Amino acid sequence: MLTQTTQGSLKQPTLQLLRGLRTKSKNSRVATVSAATQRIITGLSVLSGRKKYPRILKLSNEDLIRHDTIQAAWAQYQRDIRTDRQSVLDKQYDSIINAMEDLKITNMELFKIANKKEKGKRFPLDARIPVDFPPNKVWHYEVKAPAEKK
Amino acid sequence: MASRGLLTFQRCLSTSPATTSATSAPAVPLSTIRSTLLLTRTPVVTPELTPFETHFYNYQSELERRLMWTFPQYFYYKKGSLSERRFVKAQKGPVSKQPGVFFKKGIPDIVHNRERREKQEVIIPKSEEDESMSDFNRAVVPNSRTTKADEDNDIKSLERALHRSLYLIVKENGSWKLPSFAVEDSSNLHRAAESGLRSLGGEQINTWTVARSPAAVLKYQNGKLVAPETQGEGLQREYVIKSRILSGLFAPEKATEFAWLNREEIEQKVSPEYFQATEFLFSKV
Repeated sequence: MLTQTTQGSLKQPTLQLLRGLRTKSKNSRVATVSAATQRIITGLSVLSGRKKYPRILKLSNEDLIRHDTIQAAWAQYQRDIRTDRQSVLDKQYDSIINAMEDLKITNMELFKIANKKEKGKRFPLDARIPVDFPPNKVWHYEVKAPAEKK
Repeated sequence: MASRGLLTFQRCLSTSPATTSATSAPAVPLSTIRSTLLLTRTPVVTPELTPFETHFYNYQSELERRLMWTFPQYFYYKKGSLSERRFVKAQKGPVSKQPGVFFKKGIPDIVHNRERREKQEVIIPKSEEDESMSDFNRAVVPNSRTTKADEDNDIKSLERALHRSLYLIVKENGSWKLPSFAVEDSSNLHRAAESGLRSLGGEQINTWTVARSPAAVLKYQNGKLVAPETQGEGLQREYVIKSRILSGLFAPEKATEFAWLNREEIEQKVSPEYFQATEFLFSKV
């Protein structure tokens, strides 16, 4: 839709696009979402909540006990794993302390080097983390000669 | 644990370095110190699930599916489109309620083509799979978690037991143990271990030293393992340095017997005293 405005014969007629005109005020109080988000919201609220939900889970007493037992067993299992892991970590920590204390008595030079902070040490780039299924090449056997770093 | 925390705290607070006590203590000859390498091949794949874990995860996912909202089919498939027709055709429709009919599994409760009493099974229509399928949309077939080395039980292979941590052990003087090397003039534990490993197993190995500080100390008196707290004369010490193999392989030129084993297999191979002294270093995963 175009409107022509002519004000006097000397001025050029200006064309105004009505389609692009803002119809809402800029500082409207209503929070608006983007058109794409609004489309998704409308699409998903075609059904009322009542129709979307499955029926409420009604557990019999036996089922409830069964469920609680499963959850308790799982919690216990996780606790066992946690305590087991913590006890191993404690042992490893104590062992490091003991080894370092021993090294201090045994050889001071070795101790100083072992105790030195390794600033900026990082995990190597070629280290990998476990994945669900192995890669096509399970292990890389060829090794490039590493750059000497002293 | 609290006492240990306090000890650490006191150590942090103490201003006098331990150097004073160390200088007064008699120096131990370097020939009695050895550097032991704990070389790990970390797991390549995730751990195997125990039967309990498998059942529990299955139970949880079934519960979640039972409580899931009805699948918004109208959102994903435009009405009247070909893809919608294909989707509808693939679904197994629910049994609807009929007057005067006895339903063995209870009266159906269907809303929006979904049986509300049960989980909803949404079947994605499969496109025809044939030879002409391109590389882009072919089905993904994962690699097997067990390898040929597993079948052959090749304990020298690094491709065995991908879900476990493997450790390098070698046979020295008729008994299996972690490889240990003399600390000669290097006066550097971690480098002695790494260079010792290369002199024994070749240069074709890429390792990463976890820390310079030893993870444990093993003490021998007259060739017998003693408690790590033991002090005194005539002790042989082995300091354990942790390291990880990243690539390459351990291929000794000499007829050195070696094996990459997990925790349980190490327990079978090494002597009980040795395993008792080192068991906390081997991961259960």
